[in-house]
Amino acid sequence: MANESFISIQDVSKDFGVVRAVDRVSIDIAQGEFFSLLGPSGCGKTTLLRMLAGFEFPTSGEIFIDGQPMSSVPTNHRPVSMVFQNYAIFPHLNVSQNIGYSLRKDRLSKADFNAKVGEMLDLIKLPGYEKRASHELSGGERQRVALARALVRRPKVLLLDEPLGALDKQLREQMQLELRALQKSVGITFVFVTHDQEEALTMSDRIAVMSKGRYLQIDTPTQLYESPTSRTVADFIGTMNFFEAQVKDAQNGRAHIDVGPLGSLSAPLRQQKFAAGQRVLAAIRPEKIALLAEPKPGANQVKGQVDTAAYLGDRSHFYVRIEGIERPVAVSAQNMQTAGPGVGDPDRQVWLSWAEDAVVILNADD
Amino acid sequence: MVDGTAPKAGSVSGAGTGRPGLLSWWRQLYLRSEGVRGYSLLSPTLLLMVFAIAVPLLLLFVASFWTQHLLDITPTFVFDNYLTFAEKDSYQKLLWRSLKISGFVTVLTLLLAYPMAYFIAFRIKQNKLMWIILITVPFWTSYLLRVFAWKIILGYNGVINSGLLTLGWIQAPLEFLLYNQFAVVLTLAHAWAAFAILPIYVSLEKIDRTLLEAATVLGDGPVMRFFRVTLPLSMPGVVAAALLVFIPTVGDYITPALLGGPKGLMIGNLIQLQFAKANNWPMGAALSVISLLAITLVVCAFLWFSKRVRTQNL
Repeated sequence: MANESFISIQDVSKDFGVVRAVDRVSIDIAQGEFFSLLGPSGCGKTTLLRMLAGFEFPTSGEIFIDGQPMSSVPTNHRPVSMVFQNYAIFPHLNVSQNIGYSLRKDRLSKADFNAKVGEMLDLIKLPGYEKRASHELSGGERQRVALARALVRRPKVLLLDEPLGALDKQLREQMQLELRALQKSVGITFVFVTHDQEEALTMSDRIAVMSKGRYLQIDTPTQLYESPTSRTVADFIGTMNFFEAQVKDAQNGRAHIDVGPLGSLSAPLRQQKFAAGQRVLAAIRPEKIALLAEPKPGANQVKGQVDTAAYLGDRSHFYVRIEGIERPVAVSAQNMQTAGPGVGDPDRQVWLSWAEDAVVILNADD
Repeated sequence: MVDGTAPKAGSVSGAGTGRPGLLSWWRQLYLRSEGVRGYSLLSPTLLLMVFAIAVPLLLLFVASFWTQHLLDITPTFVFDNYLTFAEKDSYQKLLWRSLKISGFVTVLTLLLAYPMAYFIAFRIKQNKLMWIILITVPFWTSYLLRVFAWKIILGYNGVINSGLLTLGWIQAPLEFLLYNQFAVVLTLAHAWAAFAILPIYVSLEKIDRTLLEAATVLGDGPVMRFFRVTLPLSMPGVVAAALLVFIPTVGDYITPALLGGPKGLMIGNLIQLQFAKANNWPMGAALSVISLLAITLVVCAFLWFSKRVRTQNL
């Protein structure tokens, strides 16, 4: 176990009957880190979180929190707290009783109790809400109260199970930033479960992308987006254009590949090893492709025809047909950058161009 | 259609609207007003309640101020019956005892029913319906039969006594089993258990399970969690169960008559006596009204208390 890892999940599996929900997962999370578990529903992320909380126990493997093995520690003795997807605000208690729920065993005086609750209400920007009944709260307020309730005793770890899923888009984006700022100010390790990739990218220090009970890649948001290591990750996070390709040679950190209709490309290698002749995938993000009305001198461009165009206000999406490639290529452009009037019109002939480093090479089989 | 023909038009007019005036007037009222719809849905029950409960109750109340001498009932308005109750210690004792016995029955029933309801709500994953049907099985036999069954179990030569005698654990039959308040409490608690289990089960079943997880992750062990979350949230069911058991058992007269002995008689037996052998209907009516008021008072106090439990303002 690495010294700086605060939460250490070591070779943990969880079976539900014949279904293996989590399959031999090992993850180390540092103190004060905002760590996200990202994946589609049924990928095992919630089960992993529930094992950290102690609602489920691993079938095999061990979880350490702050150096202590958790295999015989029940939930109520763990140094963790949790925010639930439906917030789980106690309906029979008011806001102050909800937030102070875990303070009971501290046997505080009424004044100390009120002071702590008041402090939390200031933190979540709901001062004066002490006596509100839980049914008087809006969705966003419930979410904040749930957060305050979980943080009031300063847990070492806060687990969050899709806490923003039930909020509308605007409120969700606002809460993402607030949650991130809050986490930085209290310095508590957050483990955040979500299926929303944008949410994970916005808030996390590191993200584990999970699928079918295993994680595919653990990385910073930038690394995940810029250098995915598999097709599944590249596909799950953002949009990606894939082209079948063949390696011509790969050495000194660069590979030359043959991408059929796109011609010959060179791309950077990321600690990858490929043999000459190996079949690979070349992947390019839509926003790294420029749409040009005229060809410009230089390599890395290809002629195509606009198939469809979608105007999204701040940017536009184009789908461009290229001869010899089955699926139209997705191109995303900021609208201030579109190359003059009429460039995106359907059936119009255009040139696609990209920087050499924009291409990511992935194994063809995963 | 011309407006001038309106008076007749209502009943003779063309195809689609050709309904008699009264019916179409009713339809319009029915469709427009939610209140009317609600009351007409209630109407069969409402009629029954008015004629079979409200009217008799009113008559009972009026009759409680009358007087009776032998067979002659005098419809006066005097407080004689109420004064009699105030003077007679034995009557007051009987009412007090009835409330006490029903109180014990309610507490015992709740204590027996809650674990049962909890078990079905939280531990049974499949076939909950079967368990609920099993709970009602005792009701497939008559109430009288169940009371007699307890007589056979608790009696001088009953199942318990003969069993203990055979085992040699006692030398003579135990006499404290039957013909006292204990026997009444036990029998009533058994008879009313299902009425308590069902409402408690329903309120437990409704509790969001993540609330229990939240309580646990916030540091509560199973016992604290029960008293701080499960119990308060199931209070509506507990209150309903308590009322369902307490109110009818105060007036019960079959069980005390059969199993209570002289020490286990209740107000219901006295009221029955007034209407039958004693032939004093106004007195019986007055006693009914008094016990009605007493029950109302107890119930109000109980509701006030349970509300405080629910909101944890103890």
